[in-house]
Amino acid sequence: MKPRISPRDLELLSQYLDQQLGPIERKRLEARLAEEAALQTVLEDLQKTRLLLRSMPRLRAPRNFTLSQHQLPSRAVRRWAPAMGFVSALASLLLLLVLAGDLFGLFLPARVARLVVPAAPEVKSFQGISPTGLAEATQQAFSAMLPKVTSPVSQDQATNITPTETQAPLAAMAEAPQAPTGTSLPDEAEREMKNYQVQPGVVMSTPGQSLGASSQISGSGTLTTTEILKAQVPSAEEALQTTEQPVPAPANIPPQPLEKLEATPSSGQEESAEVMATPEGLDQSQPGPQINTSNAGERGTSSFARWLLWILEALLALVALGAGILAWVLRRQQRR
Amino acid sequence: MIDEEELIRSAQQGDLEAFNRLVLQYQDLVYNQAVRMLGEAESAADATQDAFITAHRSLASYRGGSFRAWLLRIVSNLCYDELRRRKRRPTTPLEPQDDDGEEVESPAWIADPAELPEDHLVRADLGRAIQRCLDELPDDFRQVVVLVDIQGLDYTEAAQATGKPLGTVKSRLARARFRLRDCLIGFWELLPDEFRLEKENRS
Repeated sequence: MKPRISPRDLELLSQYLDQQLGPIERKRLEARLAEEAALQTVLEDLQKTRLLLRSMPRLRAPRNFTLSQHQLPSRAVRRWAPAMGFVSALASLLLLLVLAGDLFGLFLPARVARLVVPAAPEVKSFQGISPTGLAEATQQAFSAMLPKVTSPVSQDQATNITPTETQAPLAAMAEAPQAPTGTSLPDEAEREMKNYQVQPGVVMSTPGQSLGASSQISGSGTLTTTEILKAQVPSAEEALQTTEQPVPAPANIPPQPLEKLEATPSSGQEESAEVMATPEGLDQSQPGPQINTSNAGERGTSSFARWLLWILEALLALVALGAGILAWVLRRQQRR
Repeated sequence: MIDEEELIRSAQQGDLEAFNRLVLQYQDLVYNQAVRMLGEAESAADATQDAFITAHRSLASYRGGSFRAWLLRIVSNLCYDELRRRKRRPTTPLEPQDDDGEEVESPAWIADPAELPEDHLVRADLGRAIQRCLDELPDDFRQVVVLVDIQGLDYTEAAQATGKPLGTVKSRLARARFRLRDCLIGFWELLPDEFRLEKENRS
């Protein structure tokens, strides 16, 4: 019959066999062993077990395990394996960043600029600006933007544009967008402005008025294309929404903006409505060679930037993969 | 004769010959630990070789103390890796079969008196029986009992070789011995004469 024993007694007996108990514990255990037969039985069995284990033959190594120089990893392996691993990890991280940037369009300024261009006629259409002023200002703005970004637009060019009667309220809106708008705007046009949440950047992006409005804001009398771009860029997403997608009908304004503009007898507004209706409307309304050239140039730049991005991504992927494989091979050699 | 510490110091400075002298000194010890933990010679030889390669690579991390305990810790860790690998990809061991072709799962097949014509055979069978019982132990228990009862390390060295506190080593050793006693109790017939006589006197 198998005697029962507590884990604590088992440990005491095991240590007693190995003479690991202190004198007090040993005497106490010996006294118990003299009285408890079960404890004595377990002790004897443990002693036999230990003797059996100790009697096991000591095996000899089947061969010598001495090392030769070729079994040891070379210094190059020790040095390059972690380095390659680091390079691979770094390239993978950069690839992820570039891919993420590509996904969110962070590396495509040309695309952003292209999206800004259609925004101009769209907002203008609500202001009732004369088509001649729009054409001149648009041409001036593009011609100023394309050849040299830093070339300033002269005050004459800005002031040549005849201010309309809506200019003052727009300037006021540009300065204080939260303030109530001027009363000289037509009611529906004003409501449209609110619905589209027109911001100062959008107002200034109107080619015919932006020059006047921005010159009023800056007060410097000169306007650089950089300022124009700064004013236009924040409205790029809104421009994209309002030019490439159908204009949503506001809840409080039954008629559609396009319908209203088409009903207006002004031929200039009709032209503006056409511009708004098609994304390529700018080319149709302004068939001048400068604008066509600029669009083609931007598209060329955009596709070139995209190619560069793809090449960069491919290079990073190659580096990440190659360095990773190399590190793996080196480590594998090191193990052997 | 160059003492061990000097050999270790030379090996740490890149002297491969000094390291190989340490290998020759300890290869039986390391191999025995691997065989008892893995229960198989071929894997044990591989583990032994890997242990010395690892030891050479890690010599800089040796900070004194028992060198054999340090080596035994390395080989024990490699054996744990191999045991884990086996658990992930289990293989069917070659078990003895009875007359009907059924596998005999209990190691009691060794206790057949017909297989004990000579003493050396008795010892060989006893060794296999003990190894079977060792194989049935949990890995942590097996490591400690091999270190103390087969390799002859004291408690402190065993604690160093396992990387566990002294109390854990004592507890595991006691429970491992008790389990082995339960396993080996069916093999008393294979015990050397002195043990058999003791059993008969007791009964």
